[in-house]
Order: sequence, then C-alpha cells, then structure tokens
Amino acid sequence: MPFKSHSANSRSFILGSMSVLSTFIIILGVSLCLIQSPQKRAHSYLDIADSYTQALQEFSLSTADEQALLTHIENLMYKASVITPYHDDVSKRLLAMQENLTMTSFKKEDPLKLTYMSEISFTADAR
Amino acid sequence: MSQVFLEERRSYLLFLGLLFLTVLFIFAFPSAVLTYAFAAIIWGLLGFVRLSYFLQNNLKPFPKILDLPSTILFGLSKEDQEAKEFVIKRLDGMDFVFWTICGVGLMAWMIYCSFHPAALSINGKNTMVFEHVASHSLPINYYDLALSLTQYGLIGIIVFLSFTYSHSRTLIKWTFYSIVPVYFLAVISSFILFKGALPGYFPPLDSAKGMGLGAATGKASMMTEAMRTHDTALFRRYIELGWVGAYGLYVLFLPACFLLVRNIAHRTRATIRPFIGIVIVLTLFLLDMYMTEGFAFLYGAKLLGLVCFALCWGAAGYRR
Repeated sequence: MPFKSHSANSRSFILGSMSVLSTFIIILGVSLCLIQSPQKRAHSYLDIADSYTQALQEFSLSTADEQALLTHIENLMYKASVITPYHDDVSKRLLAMQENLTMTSFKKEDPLKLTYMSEISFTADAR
Repeated sequence: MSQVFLEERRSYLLFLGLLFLTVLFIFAFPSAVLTYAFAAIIWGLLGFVRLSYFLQNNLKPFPKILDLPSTILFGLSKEDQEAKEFVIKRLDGMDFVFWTICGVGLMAWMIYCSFHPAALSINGKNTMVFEHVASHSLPINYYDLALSLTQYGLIGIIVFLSFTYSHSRTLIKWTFYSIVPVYFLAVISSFILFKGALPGYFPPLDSAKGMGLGAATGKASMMTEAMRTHDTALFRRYIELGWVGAYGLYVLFLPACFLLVRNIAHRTRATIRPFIGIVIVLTLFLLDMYMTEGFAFLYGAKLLGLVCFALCWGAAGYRR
C-alpha cells in the first residue's frame, strides 16, 4: 500500500466521522419528512417570494431584469398555492402578496406583465 | 473464512439491492423529496450496522483445552476478526483519511456558506439581478438546505460503504457485472436525453464564498439565456459554495486517482480495475462539467458511478 497508516488516531477519526455522518443523514432524513409538511414548505417559498418582492420595490433594475424577477416571484407563489390548495394562512398571505405585487407592477414606468397570477388559487375566506 | 465471506456476500447483496432501489426511485420520481428522506434514514442505519460490525470484537479468549469443536470455533472467530482488521487497516490508509478530512471540511464549508451567504458576481456579466438579490439578505430556505445536505451526505455514506466491500474480488466482479453496465447506460442516456454545454464553464477564482446550499435552484429561473447555457452542476456549486466548493469537490478524488494511475503504471498489478476506475472518474467529471439539464437523473447516475469508483479505489490499495 503506498499510503501507510500514520497513527492509531486516524482509525478512530475515520470511524468517528462515519458514525457522525450516519447520525447526521438520519437526522436530515427525519427533518425532511417533517419539513415535508405542505404548509411549512409553502411558507418557506413565500418567505423567499417576499424577499424578492422587497428587492423589486427597492432596487432600480432594468425592465428585463424586473420582469424576470417578477416571473420568479409568481412561480414561487404558484408553487406555494399548488402545495397547499385552500389552506387559510397560506391563502391570506398569497392574497396580500398578490395585491402588493399588482400595485408594484403598475407603479413601474413600463407596467410589468403578470403571467401566472390568474392561476394562483385562494380560499373563499381569504377573498 | 467462507462463513465470513458468506455473510459479506449477503450484506453486499443487501447493499446492491438498496442502491438499485434508491437510484430507481430517484430516476422515477426526480422531484419527490420523500425519496431522499427515506433513503437518508435507511442508508444512515446501514452505515451504523456496518460500523458496528467492524467495531464488534468477537475474538473469544483462547480456550485452555483444545478439543476439535473449540479449535474450529476459535479459528472461525479469529479469521472473522482478521478479515475485519484487514478492512479497517485499509480504511486507516492515508488516502482514505485525506478523503474523510476533505469531506468533513467540505460539509463544514457548505454549512458555513449556507448560514453566511455571500453576494456573488458571476464573471462580471449579467450580474444585476444576482447582486441585488444577494445583497438583499435572503432568508435561509431550510427546506432546500436540508435537501442538498442530504444529497451530499448520501454520497458520503454510500462511498464509505462501497469502500468497505473492496477487499473481495468476488464482490467487485459482481459490481462490474451489475452496476457498471447500468452506469454507462445511464451516462449514454443522459447524453441523448439532456442538453450539454461545450466547452463547459469553468468558474473564475474570484469569489471563494457562495450563496449557500439550495440557492442555485432558486436562482436558476432568474438566469439570463447566456448564463443558462452553462448551468452545469459545477456552475451551480459555484453559485452555492463559491470556487472553494466548486473545485474543492474534485480535490476529494486526487488521492484515489493517484493510486489508480500508479496501479496502471505498475506492471505487476492488475490494471483492468484501476483502468475502469479512471474511466468512471472521467465520465463523472464530464457529467459534472458538461450536462445542463436533468440534475436528479444525473445524481442517480453519479451514485452508481461513485460506487464502482470507490470499489476500484479501495481495491487498488490492498496488497495482494
């Protein structure tokens, strides 16, 4: 073997690291099962969409970049609405975001085009 | 000894079955997160079982009266222990220690980048959306972060498990007859099914830190057409982990490649296995740098390739 063992510590390091890795991925697997909760996933997408909306309002981007960002926000909202159709909390948040986004897009010099907004569904209560 | 290898064969069959099942589910349901979640739990448990097998000391005290049955029993126990020591000594080699240290370092870097993301400038072109959004302190998407860490963790544990089976020529032969054809079939299919980018994109060494795991998936839809043409796994790693993570992953392969090339050059050693190992590592690099679509499919194919590669690498380090 060209690579020779240097010390006995390396053995415990390898076996220890692999035990930690095994534990780590078991924890990650369980967490993924838990985060899989549709409501949490939807909120996670909406958090990102919120942040992008803020960026859209605050920064002066070119029209093409703004349009790309807006489409991305719509995509995220659409994903959230598909994951949890007719969930109250998510629907209320989606509706508020839709209003905010519509206002933002109309305020621009060249009004931006909302592509997927009509496909996003809300509960009757939220409306 | 035969009993030990019989156990090893059963254990390896379980390993192969689970590997095929995992890859099949990834191919069939590329966006199903539960596939990765269950795979992580099962492979993590399998890692523990394998580790406990190596750590278990079943060498019984030498019997004072050596009648025939006790001699046989004692002999079996001793050979079992010796076989384990054989594998553990291989794990003790500097190449595997280096791989583990780099792997742990890379995982730490991934976590660091995810919790302290950087604003990234992509080659000085088309950066507007990227820079503005990045400097806007995006919230951490724990969902994407957990998913990406699970995918990298799965690779780590599967490579380790494959490595521990590399002592047996029979098991390697089984792999060559079962996984290698499927792997090359998957590679050829991916070249037919998905788009690629030539000459590929090699990220500049300008941004060491990235925007954190899971960031590239979100950014993909905001990329301009020019950037989308080089949206490879390497490029996505660059966005998420900076150049340290993008090229750091290749460093993990260095000692293994050195060992394989050394074995090919050494005329007295078997050259077919190292040669297959080198071909596999080259195709893995090609998939990483070239393909711009079908990332879930490619991940499944890469898992198969890495198992074959780890077996060739492990086998190259044993003295026959």
